[in-house]
Amino acid sequence: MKDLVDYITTALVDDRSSVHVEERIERNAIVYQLYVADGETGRVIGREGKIANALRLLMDCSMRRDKKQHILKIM
Amino acid sequence: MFYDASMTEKELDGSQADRAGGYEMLEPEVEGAALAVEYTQGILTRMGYKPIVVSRSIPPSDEDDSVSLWVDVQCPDADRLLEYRNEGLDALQLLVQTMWSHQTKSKVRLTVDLNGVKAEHQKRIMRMAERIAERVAAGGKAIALEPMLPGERRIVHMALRNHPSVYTESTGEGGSRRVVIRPKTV
Repeated sequence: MKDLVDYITTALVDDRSSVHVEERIERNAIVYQLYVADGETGRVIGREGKIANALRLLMDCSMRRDKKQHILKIM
Repeated sequence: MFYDASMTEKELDGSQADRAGGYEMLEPEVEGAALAVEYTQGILTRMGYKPIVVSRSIPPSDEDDSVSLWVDVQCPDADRLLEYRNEGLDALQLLVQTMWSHQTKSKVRLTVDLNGVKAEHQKRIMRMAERIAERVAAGGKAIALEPMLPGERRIVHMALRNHPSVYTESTGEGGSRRVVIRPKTV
């Protein structure tokens, strides 16, 4: 899942080297914290959050999933 | 995104086998098509699927249209992406389009289809548009269609663009925006 977020984000931004994803496992959820270069968060969020929501939706549609909730936070 | 009405069913279904040789030569290539395939494949693979992805360039339907890129995914176990009116597939298409445009700086429209559902849907809309256009032409009265999405309305406009006796326009706002098919006044 981390790989998926990283793969998509890297192609959306100009500064690829600033992209990184931190995975934090909590009791009922896995939280993915996505970091991109300053000024490029807009690219990952999109107009009215369209891009971010599409990304979240694909995380939900992934085959490999457990019962935990997967949460994407854009930092 | 749009298919010319003169294209055969085979071409709409994505079969590459039975094409006329001369036609293939005329087809414009979209630059960077391989990258769109790579992104589609890359995303789906990371989602745990094993897709087969191919692309083809869709030539403009007439001089006002432009070339577009059609990315065809075959993946029988990805039905989940088609739930809730293709919600997952639309998300995939949006991401592939955005990633691809950002990298190639291309303005070409891109459609990602899964197991032929979009091609099928387009054909249904085109058939409906033509059927209703005939009724308008015969009855002389305008008919408003059900509200549709922008891409769907576009299919109707394009399908009837060169119709001899009707023209189309969109009315309404947002979710209730719909196409009206009107008779051409002589």
